[in-house]
Amino acid sequence: MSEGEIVMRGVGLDMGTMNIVAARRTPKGVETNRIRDAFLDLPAEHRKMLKLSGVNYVATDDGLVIVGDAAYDMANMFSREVRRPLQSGLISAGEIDALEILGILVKHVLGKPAHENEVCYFSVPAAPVDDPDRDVVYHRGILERIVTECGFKAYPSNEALAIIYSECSKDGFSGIAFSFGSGMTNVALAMGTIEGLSFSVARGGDWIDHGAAKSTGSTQARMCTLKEKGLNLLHPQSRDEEALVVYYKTLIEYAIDNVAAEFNKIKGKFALPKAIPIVVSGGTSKAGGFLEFFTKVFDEKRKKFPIEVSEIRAAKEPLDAVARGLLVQALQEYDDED
Amino acid sequence: MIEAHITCLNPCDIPDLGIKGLKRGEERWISILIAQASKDLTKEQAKGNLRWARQSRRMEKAPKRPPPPFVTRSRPVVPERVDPKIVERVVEVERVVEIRQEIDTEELTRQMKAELLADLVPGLQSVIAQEMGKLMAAQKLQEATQQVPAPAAGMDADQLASVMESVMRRVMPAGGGASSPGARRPSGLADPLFIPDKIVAKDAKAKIDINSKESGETGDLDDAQEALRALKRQKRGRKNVNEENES
Repeated sequence: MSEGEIVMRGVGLDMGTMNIVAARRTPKGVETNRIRDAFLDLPAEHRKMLKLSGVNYVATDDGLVIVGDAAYDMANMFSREVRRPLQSGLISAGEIDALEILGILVKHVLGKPAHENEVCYFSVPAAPVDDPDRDVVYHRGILERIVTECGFKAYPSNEALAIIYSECSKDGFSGIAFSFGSGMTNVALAMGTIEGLSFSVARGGDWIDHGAAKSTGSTQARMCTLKEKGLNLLHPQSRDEEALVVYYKTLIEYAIDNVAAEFNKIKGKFALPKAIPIVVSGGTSKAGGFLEFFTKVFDEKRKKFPIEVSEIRAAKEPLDAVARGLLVQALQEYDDED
Repeated sequence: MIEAHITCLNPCDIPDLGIKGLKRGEERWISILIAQASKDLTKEQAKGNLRWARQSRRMEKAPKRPPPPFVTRSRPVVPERVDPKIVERVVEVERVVEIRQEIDTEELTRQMKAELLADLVPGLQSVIAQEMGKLMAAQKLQEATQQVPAPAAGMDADQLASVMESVMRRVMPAGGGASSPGARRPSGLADPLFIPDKIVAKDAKAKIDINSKESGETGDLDDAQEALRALKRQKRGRKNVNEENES
């Protein structure tokens, strides 16, 4: 195959706490499929009503399971809480029912493989530095099994490193990527695709919602809605929004402090010859003014930060950046073959 | 059986019971009926030369019970002295082992070892491979960032020790190294994992519409692919130069 020829084999799959996103190359561009990683189980008698309303559902032996965005709407309607296959970024070992739903969601997001054992790179978070009991190995094992059962050849890859693949090609695949997800925040530092450092902290968007709700006497769901409606971190409009801003700042500071601490542990092992960019991504970074807010917080810590930073920028598509980076890696497998 | 227990307090006689020359501290057991019928016994008891009581001869001292755990002692508990018969106890243990050997537990142990090894060895291999990969990546990174001459092929003792240390850290069960700040849960070997199969139901009745969007641009993706190819060519070229220099 000649260089530049369009390759339509290979998939990138981002398994997030809030969204599952798959990215594929098409003749026209890049296609991304997304579904909300949530479900709600309901009694079977609701099936007829659901068919009429056109929501996504899975029929089970015991009843019905509403999946995707509709699960949130239905949860409000029936005064229930949605269930999530992933808790704080990882599959919960106790949620056996949730695995089946997760399997169906992944199968639909991935679609049929272009050929038998088509390459699929899927995202795996790094081990949390502040919660060593969280089991990344089980999470990786389950996802590997699901992707394989969908007919693909599964390759696990670090979530934050994928952002470097999708956003730092002009920097020679060197940079620090922050993936501010819903369940956790993943960080990776790479020089020329080689991973120098990767870790996660067990705090993300859910942690912000929980903390802000607790401090204002509100609910986590309300805080999440407030965030998604269009919160501007630079201009909070209410007491609730101010509380959210406080928690955003704490999360960013915590992530930056951990990068400094983790880098200092490996400082003597390699040197960075030039300044590298910071790329922020993930659903939590979609809040209004996030990049400016992050830069402001970072500037307060810049003097003590052990890495020289050339610029701070946001991923072009914060929800798709990981899936696209994984797609780049999947396409590379075929490049190597050819 | 309950009897009369006579304890002599002062030397005396009990003629109607045929007891003579009782010494201080001496004890006698007789039937309660006889004791009640004896006038001399009553007399001597009145004098304070003896005392008697209904008792069971078989009654023994109750074993000393340990204090309940919530009772705080005012003085520290002195540990019991080591029994000099400890050697005999060891012999008893050996005897138990001999009995167990007769049940042929060795064969069972061998089977369990084989099963454990079958589970552990592939995991151990993958851990070693991962650690080696990390080391090689670090070397490449050093080469890329510091432009230092590539080290000679193979590993020195320090590197080998470092890999072994990493492997052992991952193999050893969690919990022991709580004091180390960077302690992470060992991944791979410590806890054998159960990963269920057939997670994806093939015949599930579902209606799922996926949010799909297609970006008309492939520029970023093409750039990334091209940059990756260039990086690989560069690395390959550097490797060739190194090999030529070595030869």
